[in-house]
Amino acid sequence: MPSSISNSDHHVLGRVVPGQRWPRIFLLVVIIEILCVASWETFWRAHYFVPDDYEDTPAVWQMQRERATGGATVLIGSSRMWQDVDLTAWQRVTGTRPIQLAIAGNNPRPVLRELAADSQFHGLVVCEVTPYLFFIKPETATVEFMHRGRAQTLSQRASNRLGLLLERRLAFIDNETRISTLWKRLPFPLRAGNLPVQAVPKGHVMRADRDTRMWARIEADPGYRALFQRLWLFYAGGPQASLEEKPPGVATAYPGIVGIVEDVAVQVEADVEKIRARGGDVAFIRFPSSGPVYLSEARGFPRPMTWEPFLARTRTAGVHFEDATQLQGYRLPEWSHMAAGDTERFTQALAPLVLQAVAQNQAHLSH
Amino acid sequence: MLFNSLTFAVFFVIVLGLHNLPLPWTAKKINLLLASYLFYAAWSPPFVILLWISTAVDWKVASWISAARSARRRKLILALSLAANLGFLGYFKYGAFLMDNFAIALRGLGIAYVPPSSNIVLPVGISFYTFQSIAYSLDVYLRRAAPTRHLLDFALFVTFFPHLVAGPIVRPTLLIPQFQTPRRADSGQLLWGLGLMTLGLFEKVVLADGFLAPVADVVHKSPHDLPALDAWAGALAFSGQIFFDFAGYSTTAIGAALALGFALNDNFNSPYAAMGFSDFWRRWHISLSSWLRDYLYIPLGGSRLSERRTYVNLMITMLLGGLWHGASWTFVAWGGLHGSFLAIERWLKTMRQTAGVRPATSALAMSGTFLAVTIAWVFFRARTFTDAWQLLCSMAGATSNQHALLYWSDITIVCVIAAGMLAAQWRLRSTSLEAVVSAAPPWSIVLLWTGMAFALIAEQGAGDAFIYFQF
Repeated sequence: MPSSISNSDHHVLGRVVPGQRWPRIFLLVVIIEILCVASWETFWRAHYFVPDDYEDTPAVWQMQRERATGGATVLIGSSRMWQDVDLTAWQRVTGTRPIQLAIAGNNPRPVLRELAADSQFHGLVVCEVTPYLFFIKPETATVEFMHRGRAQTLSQRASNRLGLLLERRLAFIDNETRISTLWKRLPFPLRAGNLPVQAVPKGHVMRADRDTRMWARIEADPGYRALFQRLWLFYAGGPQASLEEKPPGVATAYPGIVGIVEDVAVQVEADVEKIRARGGDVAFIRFPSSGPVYLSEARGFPRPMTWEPFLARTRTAGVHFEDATQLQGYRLPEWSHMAAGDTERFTQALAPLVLQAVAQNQAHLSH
Repeated sequence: MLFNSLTFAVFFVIVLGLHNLPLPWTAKKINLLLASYLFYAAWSPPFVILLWISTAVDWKVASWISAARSARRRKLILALSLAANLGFLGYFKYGAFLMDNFAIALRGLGIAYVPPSSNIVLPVGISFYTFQSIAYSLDVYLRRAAPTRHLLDFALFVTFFPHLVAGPIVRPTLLIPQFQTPRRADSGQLLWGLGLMTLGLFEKVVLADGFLAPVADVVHKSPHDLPALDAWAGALAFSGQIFFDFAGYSTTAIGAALALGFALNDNFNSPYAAMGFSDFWRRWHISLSSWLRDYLYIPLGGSRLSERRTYVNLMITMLLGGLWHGASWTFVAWGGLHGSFLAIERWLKTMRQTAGVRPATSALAMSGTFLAVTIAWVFFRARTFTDAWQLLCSMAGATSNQHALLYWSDITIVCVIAAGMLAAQWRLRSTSLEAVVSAAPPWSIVLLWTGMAFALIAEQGAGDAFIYFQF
């Protein structure tokens, strides 16, 4: 038996350090590394990337969620609410800077449910309705996104804040510039069944408070814009000639949509009532879309079967872009989202319409 | 706190700075201890209490064992230590699993029983520090060592942040003596330590998380049958992912400790270059396999008893080793598979001695071992047996679905990384990284180090947790 664990005579483990001139090697590594990173940053700045553009992570979303309390105005929905609304313009028009809680590509109903369950919240919720995402898409991804935001450890919260400091200064910190993403973007041939592009490419720039715009490259680079168009066409269900041949109506509607809308409306109505009981309210918006995307939405989700019965059942205010000329005529380069330069004007037109619709609806309900 | 996080980068710079201040050795150890508690609390502060309890119980128990005169009393005190350590582990890690299986057993007897819903949170790294504490009590009980006299040294042994949450599982006889005398890394140790940290983080952030995990995840989460190519690419991706994830963690831990002047034991030694399964387990998660050998397999009798008993001991060790990884029957099945591999290998060796079967060539042995290990990983990664079976059927080509899930870019990168991994491990099979680096021209080290660091920065990393944190 060794005399003691405390006795270091026999048991101290040593590690071999390779025989090299380490200080000189390390100095060279540091110098070359600084040059490489500086070149990398310069390269991406020359390719549409800018500093002060943040990754939309659950952590960043959660920071905004924690601000959504009291009588705040909260924007929820998917990528159109996220990209088409200019928070500063909304603030200029209404006097209140809204909190952006839209989650791109996902169903916003879990966010509405959480706000309804939050006894501290008694503000206005403005919710985007993009028919497929709102009525059909499973809530799982949204729930997971929200959960990941809530479940951060102290260490993750600290890392997130440190990360924001770096993103403020460095343009290359972006999902699109990761080497694993760059690899995915290489022009490998597609296999049967593959989406036209692996994962939705970068389409936005986002500030730390999630105020978001379309990325300049989509407007400036026709090839890049076409990438998005191909992707939306794929989601829209195939060759667009067939969409145009079939006008919207019962025959082209999403199977069982009437019942689905009724079920969703019942759930949403309960959430709306909870918020109203605390003095808040909820309004819905249908954002502009164009081209094949509009046709696909109009064909699969005709207004008389979705938008109108939904608003009637939930007894809520709604603003549909087709009903207001001031919400039409904006540039939608890839048919689904608004050009960055148009969002200020669009928001200035939208915000008063929303407040007006809410006021009219409240007056209607009180009678 | 994750090694692959900005918080850790700041934390480590501060700890390194404090450790190099001209302070008394005891003050430096207190700094390291407090830093280690902070490292753990950054995940969940309340669970630091578990560390305190584990530390206090084992420190006290070991001194009682050492002082006890009768064998019966020593045994009783050891039982107390085991009950405390395994009790914590059992409650937090296996509580829900046991209740669910108890309910299933009752249902089998026709008794309807629904266990209360369980929201037990698994304290990160509990399996690692529990095994480390148990090793201390057992070493004292088995008279392999006497207890340490200083609580500070013992607390630091349990809590030392580089190995705390995912190993290597360090033996008390290896680490505690290092806390006895002042230690500070010289420039070679500091810079080689930083180099190892770069290598470990490169493996984790770039190879495991950046390239392999997305492929492995999409394949393993697919609810559908897959073409054989996709299924094999997913299985191969997970083989690479789990190696780079866990070996990356161990390498970073070893590097961080070395930069502070401490030496941790190796945890991996080119495991995918193993020729046979006993060779594999001498190279994969070495600190766990040697723990299981010394504290379970040998006390069970090892190979000292009958041949049949040796096979039983092997299987018990591997089944429990599987269960150590997680409270699920799929982990037990994974352990059982490896137990079977080891048993078959042992039997073949016995046959070879008597029947004179010629050994396979080394490349074939390595390929066969890697193939079997990769197939066994399917059970390790799958959430259910149904999922595992579905993927195995897809790998066997026994499906009609030819709808591609992966892209060529996925399949290509998995093949490239797997080929590189196997080639590197083959090269390092009979030597060490240190020996290779010693012989390498300095410019190649500069190039490689810069390349890895740049890839690390360019990949950025999403701060994904290490797989072994959950064990």
